Amino acid sequence: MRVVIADDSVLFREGLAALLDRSGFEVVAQAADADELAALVAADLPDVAIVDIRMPPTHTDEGLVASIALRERHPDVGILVLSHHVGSHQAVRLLADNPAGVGYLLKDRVTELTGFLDAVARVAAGGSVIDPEVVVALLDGHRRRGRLDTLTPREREILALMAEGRTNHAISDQLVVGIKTVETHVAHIFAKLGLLPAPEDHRRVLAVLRYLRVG
Amino acid sequence: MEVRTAVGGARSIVARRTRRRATLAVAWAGLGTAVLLATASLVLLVVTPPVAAEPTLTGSRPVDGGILLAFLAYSAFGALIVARRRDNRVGWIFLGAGVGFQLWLFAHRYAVAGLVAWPGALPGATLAAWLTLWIVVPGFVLAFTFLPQVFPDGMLLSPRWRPAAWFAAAALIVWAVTWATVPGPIAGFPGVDNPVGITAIGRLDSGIGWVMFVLAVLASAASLVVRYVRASGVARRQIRWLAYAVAWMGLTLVVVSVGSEGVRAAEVAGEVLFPLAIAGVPLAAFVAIFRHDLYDLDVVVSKTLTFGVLVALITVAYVAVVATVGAVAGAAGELSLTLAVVVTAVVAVAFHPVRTRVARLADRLVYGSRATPYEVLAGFSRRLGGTLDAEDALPQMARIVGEGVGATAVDVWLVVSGGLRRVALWPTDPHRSSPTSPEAGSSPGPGTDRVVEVRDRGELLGTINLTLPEGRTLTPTEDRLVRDLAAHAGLVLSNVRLLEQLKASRQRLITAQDEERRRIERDIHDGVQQRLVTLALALRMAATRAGRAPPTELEARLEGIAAEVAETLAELRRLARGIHPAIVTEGGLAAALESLAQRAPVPVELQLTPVDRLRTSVEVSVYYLVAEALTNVAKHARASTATVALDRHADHLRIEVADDGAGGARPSPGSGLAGLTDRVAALGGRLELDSPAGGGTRVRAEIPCGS
Repeated sequence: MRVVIADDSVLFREGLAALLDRSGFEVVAQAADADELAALVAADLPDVAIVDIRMPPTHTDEGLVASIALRERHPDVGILVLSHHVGSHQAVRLLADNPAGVGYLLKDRVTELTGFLDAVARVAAGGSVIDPEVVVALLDGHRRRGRLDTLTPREREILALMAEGRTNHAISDQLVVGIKTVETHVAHIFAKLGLLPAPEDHRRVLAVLRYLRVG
Repeated sequence: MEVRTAVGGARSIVARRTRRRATLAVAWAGLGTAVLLATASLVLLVVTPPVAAEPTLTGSRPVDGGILLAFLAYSAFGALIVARRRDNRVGWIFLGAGVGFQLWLFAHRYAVAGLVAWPGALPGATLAAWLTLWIVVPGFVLAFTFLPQVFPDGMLLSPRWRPAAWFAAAALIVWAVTWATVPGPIAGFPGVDNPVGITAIGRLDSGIGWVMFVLAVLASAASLVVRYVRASGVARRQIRWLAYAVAWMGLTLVVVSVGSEGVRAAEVAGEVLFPLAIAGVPLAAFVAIFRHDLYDLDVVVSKTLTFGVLVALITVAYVAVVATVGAVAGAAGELSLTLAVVVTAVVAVAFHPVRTRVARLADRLVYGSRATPYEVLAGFSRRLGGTLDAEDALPQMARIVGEGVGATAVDVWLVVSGGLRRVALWPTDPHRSSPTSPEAGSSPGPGTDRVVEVRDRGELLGTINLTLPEGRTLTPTEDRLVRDLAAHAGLVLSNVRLLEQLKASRQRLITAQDEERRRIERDIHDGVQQRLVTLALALRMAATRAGRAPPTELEARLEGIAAEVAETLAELRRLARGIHPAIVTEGGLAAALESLAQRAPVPVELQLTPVDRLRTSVEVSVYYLVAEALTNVAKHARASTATVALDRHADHLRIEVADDGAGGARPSPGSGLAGLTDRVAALGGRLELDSPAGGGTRVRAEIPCGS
């Protein structure tokens, strides 16, 4: 899989590139700021771009702005945004219209090697990834507003895992329950939230995300 | 199409001109009638031979003549008002009342001539005598009910007052009819019976019409009072003119009634004043409608008060002298002309000092609580002692100066960097035209009569600008008083300036602090955090590169260090958030408050009115405030829910954090809330804590966020 990395710290870029190279990804280019990123993506059309939110010149949300622009110009290029802190509003901005092939993770997640590599692969393949902390924040916010009150704690737990982009299989593994049980829960969740079950895994995530955003 | 419009427009102009000409014709015809009637009455007054027990209206022919001329003022000013404002019913009322009064006066003179002086010589004398019974009624009702109802713009106050107008009209008819049909001899003309005396109506008691009239007058007066209370500016000044004329009339009536009790001096004064008072009403109305800006009513009132008190004093002295001299001389009653002149001269000279005093007293009555310079200075110091707030001190100073010397307006200007800024005005009439900023040390600006500089140790701090009533200048004492006040004001102005500087400096400190915290937060994220992430990444990679199952001791230690670094990173993230809420600058206040609500352990309801982006220091302060308040809710309040409300009211941002918990919170020194109180105050806002025991806690703040 072809990867572009955008981050203003050379050390970090090199470290990340080393990790990705070693793990079977092909790092085709590295960018130090948003403009360079846009040029490189247009030239190389990678499977996924890993973008730091804070980049020169103001170190606020250049990466986010650049990512949203990239999404419009190259919808097939996956974007994994790395943030320094939990900004659920940023995640919502990024995932709002079409969360397919988009990810939003805390930068620290990079050090959880397997989980991080898995996330890169999922985004490159057109899936969605949201940092668990963001999901918790969003879920908490929505629970308070009473929208998810009808769900049981177990269903809520499963919804959170779904929102992270896990498959039913992964959820059943994590919760140590049967795959059938998970499917029943998922069906209940959709029924309670008034969502039609969709055939593909990531479509369910889209539905959940859309619910989280709108709700 | 265009042609037709043009023709239509021309036609409407022509129609308007025709109507205008017709209106003018009616107005001048009304005035002409009144003048003719008055002339005829005067001729009769002069040529009618003196008769015993002549029925006069006022007791003497000259006074009757004066009243005749005075009532001409109604028609004259009425016609003048109609000529300029034919839509204003006030003009028509005066015009109509004037003609009515003249008819009455003429009827009376004609009846006296035809029935008493030359009995049988004039045709229709009985008819004239009958007219005297009631022809005055329409004039009275017009002047005393309709006029106050529609003054000054010619319209009723509101459609709801229409019944009052109808009632007045009914009173007019009932009064006129009952008086016109009273059976028996006509008052003033014994032996002449009312030709249309109707016993049935006469029995109805002719007082009914009078009672209805009085009620209508009360209703009309109420309408005028309501109009005055609701009005402002010009309309108020107009009504005051009319009220002034009416008050004068009232005073005159008092004098006249004293005179009719046998006090000769009051009788004489009344005979002079009464016609003037009659003419004063239409004059006042005319001035009110056309010239209210030209003359200062306050000056007129002040002069009248002086004059009135002087007349009263001189009258009293005159009576005293006459009584004494009369008793001594043994010749009661009549005094020689010479003696009268001498007495008047003596009184006039003796009363010159009194006149000054009276004028001062009148000014004080009219212009407010003016007192001796010492009292003003003492009051100034006392009031300044009572206030430390610069925002209060300056308006107070302006008021004290204004009241102290009887100025009409006072402006206080403060020297600020690059010019003068008006920091206080008195009276605080927002409509008052603000004079252009005067140049320091130059001659007073337009509309300003005296400029006093305020200095502190030689440095010009500001000026006090006085506007005086027309024709008044400061006496040397008053001038010294203003200069003394200005010397005291140096302290106030320098305090005000210091406070302004302090405020600005506090704001700069807050801004600098925020900026510094933001820089530190950025350094943490972009520097330390970045390096730590890179370090952790390298550690993990080292561990896995070495890692072939089973893990060696080195790999396990590398993993342990990497986990430690990850913990450090999480901690660093929390720390950075505490130092500066990046989410505020990046996502805006609403997003920041949402994230606070999400993290709070208690359910939080947000009621956010969308507001534009504000100054960073304001936004960050609001964030800290809500964060601190929600932390307190979680720690102490034992609440089940909390509400965060934010809205913008004019140029103030209002924030309230409320919970339904135990209440009883007290801001202790050094607590987060105390720090926030300072922060909010530095931004020019204020913070309130309302936390009754058992009644929940509300933290409210208002922060100016001028755009």
